[in-house]
Amino acid sequence: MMKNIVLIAILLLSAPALSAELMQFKHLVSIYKYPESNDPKAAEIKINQPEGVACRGKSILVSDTANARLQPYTLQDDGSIKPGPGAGIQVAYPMHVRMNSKGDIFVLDGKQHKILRMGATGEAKGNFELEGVPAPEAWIPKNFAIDANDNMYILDVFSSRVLVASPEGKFQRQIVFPATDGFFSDLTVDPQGTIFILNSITSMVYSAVPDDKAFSPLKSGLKDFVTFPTSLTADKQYLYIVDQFGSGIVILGKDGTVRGRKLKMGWKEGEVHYPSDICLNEEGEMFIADRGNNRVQIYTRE
Amino acid sequence: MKNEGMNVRFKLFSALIAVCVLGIIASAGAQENKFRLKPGAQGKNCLTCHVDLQDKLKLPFVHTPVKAGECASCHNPHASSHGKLLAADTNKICFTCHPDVVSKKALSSHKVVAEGNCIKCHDPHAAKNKFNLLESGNNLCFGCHKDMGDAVKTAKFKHNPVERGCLNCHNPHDSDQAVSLLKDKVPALCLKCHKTGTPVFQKQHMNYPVAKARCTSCHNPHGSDKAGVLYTNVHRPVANKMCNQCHEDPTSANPFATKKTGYELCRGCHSQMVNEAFSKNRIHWPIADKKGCIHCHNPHAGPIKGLLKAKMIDLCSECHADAIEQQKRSPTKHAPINEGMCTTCHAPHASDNVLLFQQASVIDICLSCHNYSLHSTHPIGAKALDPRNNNVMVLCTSCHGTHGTENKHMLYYPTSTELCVQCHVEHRR
Repeated sequence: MMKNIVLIAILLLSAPALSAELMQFKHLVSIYKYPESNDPKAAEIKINQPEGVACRGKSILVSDTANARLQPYTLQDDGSIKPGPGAGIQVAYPMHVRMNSKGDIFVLDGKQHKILRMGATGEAKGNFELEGVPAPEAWIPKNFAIDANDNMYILDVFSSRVLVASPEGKFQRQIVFPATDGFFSDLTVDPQGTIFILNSITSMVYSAVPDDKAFSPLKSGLKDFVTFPTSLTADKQYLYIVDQFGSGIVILGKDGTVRGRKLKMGWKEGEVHYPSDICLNEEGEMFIADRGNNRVQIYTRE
Repeated sequence: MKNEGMNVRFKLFSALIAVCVLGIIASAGAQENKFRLKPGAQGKNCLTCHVDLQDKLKLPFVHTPVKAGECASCHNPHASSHGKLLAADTNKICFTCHPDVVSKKALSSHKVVAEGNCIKCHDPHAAKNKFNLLESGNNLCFGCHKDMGDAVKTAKFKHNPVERGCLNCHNPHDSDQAVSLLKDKVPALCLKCHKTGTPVFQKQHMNYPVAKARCTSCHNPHGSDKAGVLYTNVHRPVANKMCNQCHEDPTSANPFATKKTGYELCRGCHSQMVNEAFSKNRIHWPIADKKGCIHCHNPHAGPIKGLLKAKMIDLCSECHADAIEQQKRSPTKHAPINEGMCTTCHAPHASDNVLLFQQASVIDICLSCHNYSLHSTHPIGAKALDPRNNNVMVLCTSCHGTHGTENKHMLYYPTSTELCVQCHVEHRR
């Protein structure tokens, strides 16, 4: 009897690890072109070096970087891609892109080093400005994230900190980067409100739960599992790290334990080449900005 | 009766102790002469054959075990798994008698010492120099550090302690005080000779309290062709003694604080470069952080052109070690990386192109060095779409990994067949 209880306990405890190790991503569909439209020229345009991809529900927004355009798509129930809603939006050099709960669009413009704000249909709402930032007031966003309550988290590389602001841009708090070598490339906020930041050079991930005043490193580095990680995202259970130079995705437990590595380098459907961004929707579908392959790939979980 | 029993037990105990003591003595004796050589035969036996050593032993400095004729301290006279019949691995044997040659607290250690290559500097038998050194003075050091030796010899302005000997500033084995085997940290080491309180010294340093600064950020401790033993390449404000162009005034509370942060400080003079970088689509992100330009450049002076902090390949590999390591593992080397010229393909500050490429087209970058017509007739470029993915053209990088692969010619696959059938699937067998 006791033996059975112990066995069940072990199985329950190892369930998350097992689920991640067994988690398989199946390639569903790729986005290669602009949607069919009345303009035949537009329909011929191919996606070119997409740096970012945003997803919310079935809505997808692609940073078609080399075409200087944000392009919306919808993932349909049958797995096909439908254009829109709305038309493409011109942006000088769109990189990281995210949508908030209202569908408002936020995109990092690589040329201006600003976060641009737009309505759900792409109407410009100006730059996302911060109000009440403590000294030093200067900030340069390398990346940003939006939480479930539409609060904004900005990776300010100029002043080595994460700035947290209300949806309107009112400063709420800041957490300075850990004193370490390397360079912080991306951040994400999980559904529990924990902030994670990624150091691309040292391959370390740091976290701060909502009340933390400082970042703490996850228990171990990723050096043995990645070559040059550049972006990350999180769901309730796991962190997903994009290994750009190694062309793959590494899945971590929230404590930093490596749970597996997915995808491989290549040109065929399902393979990735210099992936640059990742987004997960509520259904666990994974969207990868496959920059080197000029496409966005969508995977479902098996 | 009881006393008799006690006596017997006492005698037995005493005998046991005596046996143990004799055993220990015998064992120690055997250890000293583990090859059971005849009395007086130690060393002499060896020299009957190794006659060349006889002359060597006449040198003024003889290794203690050799002098004592204890050849078997290091060599096994019968058989060994190690070269020269050594009793242990060549790189470990010295540590059996000299275990503390590198301190556990060492902040830096001499690579040859850490690797156990003691014989690079010491003769294990005898030498004409103290400590059995192969050469005397700086000649020993310059045997390996040739470039340094040449630079020291040709420097117009000499640093006196270097002339007198490297060991004035460096420890030969390790240092538990500082990096680079230095006997003490900089500036403490420098201040042992240089008096910073004199009016002349203060005037030379524009009244900045440099006794608290790192002297080697401007001065080459090994000598230089520049007056004041400044490094060859000097940042203009330093050369013009305009320290306060970047730093707060010497009388301020924090005189070494810079007037602005990161690239904003450099923009004051290098506005064209900084503005141009920030007008590009993509910036090399470290430029935009708190440290800015000094990630890669020395702000004061340095030995490398462009005031680079290190050779380009070393500098780039500080962050992009993955790319450099990949090249090291590759059987075919890509010349620009091999020559340490990352900027042949990548712009160091900013670019309008992905991966900070110097040109928009990968093909154009490759053709700036390679003549494709001599290489292949395979179609590449806009008219040749990759059959695996029609959204990309066939490029040089469709077949070759630019930082190297595990295969010859930096190909992604080990054989041409495997490579070609990735696209030409109809020929797959």
